[in-house]
Amino acid sequence: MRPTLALLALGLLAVLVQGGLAHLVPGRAVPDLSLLLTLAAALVLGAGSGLLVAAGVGLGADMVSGTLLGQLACLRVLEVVVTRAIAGQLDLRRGLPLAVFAFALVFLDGIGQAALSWLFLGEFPLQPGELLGLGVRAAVTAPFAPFVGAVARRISDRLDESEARREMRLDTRRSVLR
Amino acid sequence: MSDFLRRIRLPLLFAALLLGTLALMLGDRRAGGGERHWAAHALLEIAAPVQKTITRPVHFVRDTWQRYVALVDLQAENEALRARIVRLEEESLQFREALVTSGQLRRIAEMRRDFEVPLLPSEVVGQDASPWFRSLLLDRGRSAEVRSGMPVMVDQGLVGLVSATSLHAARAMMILDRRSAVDAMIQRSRARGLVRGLGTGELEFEFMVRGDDVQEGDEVITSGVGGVYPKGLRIGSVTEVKADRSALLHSAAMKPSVDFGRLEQVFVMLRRGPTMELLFGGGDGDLAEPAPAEVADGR
Repeated sequence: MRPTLALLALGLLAVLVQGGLAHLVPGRAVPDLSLLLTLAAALVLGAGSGLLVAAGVGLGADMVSGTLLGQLACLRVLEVVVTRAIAGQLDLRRGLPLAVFAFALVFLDGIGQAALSWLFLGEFPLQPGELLGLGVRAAVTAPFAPFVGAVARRISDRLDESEARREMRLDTRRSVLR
Repeated sequence: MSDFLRRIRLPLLFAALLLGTLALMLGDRRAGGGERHWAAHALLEIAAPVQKTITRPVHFVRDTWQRYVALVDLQAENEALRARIVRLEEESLQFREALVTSGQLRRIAEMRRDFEVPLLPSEVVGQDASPWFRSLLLDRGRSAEVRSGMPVMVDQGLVGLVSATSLHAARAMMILDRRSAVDAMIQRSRARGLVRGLGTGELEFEFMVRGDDVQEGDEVITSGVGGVYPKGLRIGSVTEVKADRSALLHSAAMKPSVDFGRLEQVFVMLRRGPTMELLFGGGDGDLAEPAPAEVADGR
């Protein structure tokens, strides 16, 4: 439970950090940290917790940005499913496969956003220039994937450990009382 | 039974989340000015100070770099300038006066005088990180009388429209957003049309062509029709007329008059246009993003 909450909080913080960075550098040059956190949560946590973190982070991003409420949340949930499916085939604990997968995921996320906007808001054609922009964003984001993955794993492991230790202490006390 | 439930727990959770988010999107699309969830207001409220905290140190480092580190030639320049100091001192008074009267301060003062509506200065603390949507996060909200539907501008021209507010923060949709459409006209020929955001850094002016009504270099201003923005705000200038004689609706590429990449402070017009007032009534609902496009369109 604690790793889930911690990654959710970290994901929401990533959304805010992204917004702040987008004010300082062109939007395309800002790594999609919230997507990376979702990806990491999908790999580090269980499927259910990963889905909950993804939905929470996505909703947070929807609330802060100008997207339709639920748009990014929907995509993040789908991305968790895709990530877990791919993790069954590829070893995404290793840096390079993770970075390559993150590159593809950012690209798919952009196309997904455009598709959902087209579906719900009408006309939204994808221009070749925008695809190039997506490529830049994916290229900027991908190198951060192993780092974010490692941070998420460390946080999860540490909180899991302390939770296990707490439970063990409680168990010992119970046996002493008996 | 419990085994069965345990087995379908994950697919159920996935389906519930997916359907939930789709329902949220539909609801948000249909809301058309309805109130957003309290959580959205809360997050917006948290976002402004957090993003301000992030941008401040970077601004500080950038300013320090520009003022001190980047000036490696300062010593040499200083020597050269010393010789000119006496003359410059004499002229400095005149320059200061000129700066005050002809610089940005005067333009802002004029702008604030031109509009009878009070203008509220607000700091830009964040921008949309999404690749398709263009919005700004402002550090003023409902406590400063900022409401959804109020136009946002700078001395160079129109920036956009407030689309969501919390107590101390607001989000403004820029005219660059793909869902933005502003009823506009060519200042020279008074030819009317619609300025649409392309989601990139450019704008497009759609118009019904009549002779040479639209030419390269023409200034485009708000028409005041549509009841969203007041008349006469600068939007940008025409850079290229796309001549397609067969089409009824023609278009022209536009360069915005506002440098959106360098926005640090904007002004919120503390009065909504009549259409926005009708849309929101006396209430304080947030704007479902597509609404201004439709309103400005007259659809």
